[in-house]
Formats: sequence, structure tokens, C-alpha cells
Amino acid sequence: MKILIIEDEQGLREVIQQSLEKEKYIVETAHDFISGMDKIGAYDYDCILIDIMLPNGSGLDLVRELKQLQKKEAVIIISAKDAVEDKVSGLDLGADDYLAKPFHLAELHARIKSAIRRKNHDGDNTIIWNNLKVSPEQRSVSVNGEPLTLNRKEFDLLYYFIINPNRLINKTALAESVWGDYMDQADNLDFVYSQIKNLRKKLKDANAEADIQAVYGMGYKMS
Amino acid sequence: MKLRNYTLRYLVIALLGVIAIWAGLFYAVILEEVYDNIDDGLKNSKILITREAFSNEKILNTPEFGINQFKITPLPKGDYKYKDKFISTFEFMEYDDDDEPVRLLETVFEDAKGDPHLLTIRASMVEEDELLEDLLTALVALYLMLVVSIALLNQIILRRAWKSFYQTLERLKSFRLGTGSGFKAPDSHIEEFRVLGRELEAMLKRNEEIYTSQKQFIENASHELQTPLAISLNKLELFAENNNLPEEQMMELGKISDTLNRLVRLNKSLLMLSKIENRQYAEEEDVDFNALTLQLTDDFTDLAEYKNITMTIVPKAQLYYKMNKGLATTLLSNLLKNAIVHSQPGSMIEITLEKNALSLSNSGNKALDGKAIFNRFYRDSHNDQSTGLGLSIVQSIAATYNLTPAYFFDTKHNFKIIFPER
Repeated sequence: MKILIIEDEQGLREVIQQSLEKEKYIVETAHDFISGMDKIGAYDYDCILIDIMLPNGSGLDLVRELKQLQKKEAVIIISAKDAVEDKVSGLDLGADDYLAKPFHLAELHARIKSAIRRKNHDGDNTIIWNNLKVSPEQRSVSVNGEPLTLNRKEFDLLYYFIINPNRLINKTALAESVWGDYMDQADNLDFVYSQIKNLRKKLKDANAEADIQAVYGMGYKMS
Repeated sequence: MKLRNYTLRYLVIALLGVIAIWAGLFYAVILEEVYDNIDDGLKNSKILITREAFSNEKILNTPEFGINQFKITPLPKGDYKYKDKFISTFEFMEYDDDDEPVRLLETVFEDAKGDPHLLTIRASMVEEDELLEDLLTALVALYLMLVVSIALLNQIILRRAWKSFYQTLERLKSFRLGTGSGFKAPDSHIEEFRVLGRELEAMLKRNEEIYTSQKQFIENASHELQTPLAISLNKLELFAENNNLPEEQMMELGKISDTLNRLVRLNKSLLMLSKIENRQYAEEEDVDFNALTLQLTDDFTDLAEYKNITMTIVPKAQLYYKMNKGLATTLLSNLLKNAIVHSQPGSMIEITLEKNALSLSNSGNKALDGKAIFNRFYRDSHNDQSTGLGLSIVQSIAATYNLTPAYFFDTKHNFKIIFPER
């Protein structure tokens, strides 16, 4: 899988690149509008991350260009502006997703995975992890072929872990992704822990080979 | 008190004084003139009578006033001063059956034989009290006429002269900073008002510019902070992930991450506030608050259950309101979150929906400062995770859509959002 990051801020570009390379993606980067345009024209990618505010051009024009070239890449806009108009026009131009800075890396992975998955509709959409099988469309889970019943939040939690396996997931990222953006100001995120405890118990009872561990102070990790 | 009543009040009082003084002086002068006139007439009569007495001795025999307006009394021989003496006194007058004021002239003259006689001439005098009465009536009439005409003139002149001033006031009343309505001073041919209008216009324009640039600054600053925040947060996450650190160090990293996350929340809230105030949430739709409440309470169930708090919805009526859906969600979720976070474990939150109001009540020990509660960065001292912006976002949203947020305490905290009648 090849991913192109078009982002002018060096620090952010590096950290995204490192994080994606850990996931065994092949990552290329562009630091401005012109180099971004060159790469888009010359190569094919599975997913392109585009920052809107770029030196000498707008990321939205790159999205437009992609559309004109009839490219099939999944496009995710990352922007510091988080303006409704940008989001709307970006999605109208054919971007697959919009992520406002600052974001958690786990969230970025989740978005990239779903964007790529949506693009490759022909392929098998189920995600397999050890003896676990998760179908995001049907929202169903099975362990060793046996269906496992999870409630909505438990499914969302498991899905988030399963597309970010072996990664440290910040508890804030988890809360925001599963319970919604406005959950971020809840004064403590201990309630996340009690939900994870339930999920863990269900997985254990079904003999799933998935272990969710708490990483003190930071969040959780599934291995 | 209105300007024209204010000036009129002072004019009326001042006029009363001026007219009273003027009346006194006028009365004295008139009386003086009248006496002078009568005295002149008496002196003239004296000359005529003494001359007649010289040639016609019969006149000397006029001991009483009778039909003549004089009497002559013979005096014993002696040395008399020939000095005229004027006396004001009262005498009975038959015609109106009353004592009337008269003026007497007493003088001594010698007849042809050289015998002295006392001559008293009398003249009826003006009736002072009647004069006074007439004068008073005239003055009262004059005063009333003056007051009425001044009031009328005042009305007309003030209305004309201050017209542009009142227009300026009206426009000032409808001026709101930050709404982009602008202030245009009315035209005036009066120099002072023109200057006032011009200065107001310039001042408000300056204010508007400062306000806009300040809002712009907050928005830009928040935007600029996003990228460095993203970098530090992501680097920290990657660092924690890549290194197998001992638990203690992981805890420390966790604390740094929590702090960074709090900074992110603060920044997002600030950005949201300035966006609400800049009216960047333009899209509007009819929001069904009953459905929204159901959805949000469901989203918050896990958090509430963890704190052992029950949420009850009391839908007394259907509440619809045309506004931005995202902002409606933020409004309600901030209130809900606020209620959950500040409730004691095991208590109950009641959400009541009425036709024109939405209220939340949650347990609490003591009343909060209802005025300060919606201010930015107002918060409980013990809660270090809150941004202190949640309720001020509520207020900003409310202000944008003409809703009225209210707080009161009656053994429970009550937050109420009153929607305008439709």
C-alpha cells in the first residue's frame, strides 16, 4: 500500500510518515503544492493525505486535479482550519474524508483504512485478526466462526482496536472516536475503562485471541 | 426627564420670579404716577380757589365739602406757614356705600382782608386694591399666555433643532458591535450635532475594527496553534508507542499527553467561540430537540452510568427551532455534560422539554453565581480538566439565535434555555 502525504509542516510530515511506516505502508511525501502536483501526476497511490493550506497553492486544487485525472486514490484532507465550508467543498470535490488538526495518529489510521476499504469495494471487507473476524458493514463479529454479540459501543471499541492492532491508542482518541467529539470534555475518561472491561470479558469468554491491555496513563493497546 | 420638559421646568420657574418682580416695580411706578397726577390737579384747584376767594368773598363761606370738592375754615389770626400738605385718607362715599381712598390738600391762604383761612381740597383717588386686583389678573393671564407660548415654541424649536440628535440616539440604540450593521450618523445642519455624529461614526468604526481584528486574532492564533499541537501530540504518541518504557515514565508521558489534550480542547473551544461569534455556522434547519435529546442522552449513557447518574427526559411538548444542527448539538451536549460532570454520584438529571423552553436540573449543594457562570473561564476551583468555556459557548450560541439562557438554584441547579415564541 502506497500513501502520499502532502503537508508543508515538516514536523507533522515526519511524524505521520513514521507512524504509517510502522504499519508497513510505503510512504512518500511532498512539502508544497508544486511537488505535490508532480507526484500526483507521475505516480499512483492507494491513499493521499492533503493539507489545505500549502505554500504556492491550495490543497483543494490538488483534490480537483485528482478528479480531473480520474484517479482512483482515496483522498483525506487534513486541515488546521476545520471550517465547515472547507469540509463541504473538499468532500464535494471528491475527497473521501476530512480530518481536522490536531488529530490522534490512531484516528488517522482508522480513517485511512476505512477510506481505502471503501475505495476497494470489490475486495473482501472483513478484517481478520487471529481468530477474530470483523465485518464493519454488517457490524458483526465472530470468533472461530462463532458469532459474538456486542452492543454498539463495544463493537465500535473493538473495531477501533482491530484496525489499530499493536498500537498504543490514546484514551482521548478512543473516547472521541467511539463516544463522539463532544465527549472530549468529560472530566475523566474512567468510564472508557469500564466499557473496555466489559469488552475484554466478552472476548475472553468467547476465547478470542485478542488481549486489550491498559497502558498506564496513556491509553490501551490490543495485541 | 425629557430635555424639553427639563428646559420648560426651569423657564416656568424663572418666569414666575421675573414676572413677580416686574409686577411689583410696575405697580409702584404706576401708583407714583397716579398720585403725582392727582396732586398736580389739587395744586391747580388751590390756585383757582384762592384767586376766586380774593374776588368773591362768598366762597369763603364753604365750611363743608358739599357739592364742591373743597372746604374753607377761618383761622384765628396768627403766623402760618404757607406750605401745602398732602394727606391720603379714607372718606365715606355715598355712591358705593363704603369708605374710599381720597387725597387731601391742606393749605393756608389769606383773603383780601388779610385774614388766614384753612383750605382743604379733596380728590377721589384710584382704588389701590382694585388696581392691584386688576393688575394681578392681567399678570396671571400674561404669565399663562407666556408659559403656553413658550411651551409650544419650545416644543417646536426643540423638536426641529434636536431632530438629528434623536435620530442619532435611535440609530445608536439599534447598533450592535460585531453584527456588521454599522453606524451612519444622520445629516444635520447644526454644527454640534454634525460633529457629534461624525465623532460617533469614527469612534464606532474604530471599535468595530478593533473588535474584528481581535476576533480575527483569536481565530488566527487558534488556527496557528493547531499544527504545533498536532505535531507534539503525535510525536508524543509515537514516542510512547516506539519505546518500551517503564510504568513510571509511561505515567509521566500520560500526564503530558493529558495536558496536551486539554490544550487541544481549550484551543478547539476558543476556535468554536470565535466562529460562533463570526457567524460561520450559516446552515440552518428545523432542529427537533426532542429527538436530539434522546440521541444525546443515549450517547452520554455510558458516562452517566459510570457515575451512577440517571437521566430522565420529561417531554411536555415538542420543541422545534430553526438553527444550525451542529450548534444545537453543541448547546445541548455542553449542558448535558455540564450536568453530568457536576452531579453527585447516584443523583438524577431531569431534562424537561416544553414548547418554548428546554431545562436541565441536576443535584448540587449550593447556588452558583448566576451572573458569572456563563463567563469565559469561570469554573469550579476543583475541576482541573474543564476548559471553563462550555457554558460560555452555550451563551454564545444562545445569543446568536436569540435564545435566553438562565440559571437558578432551588435545592438543585437549574439551567434553562428559553426559546423565542414562534
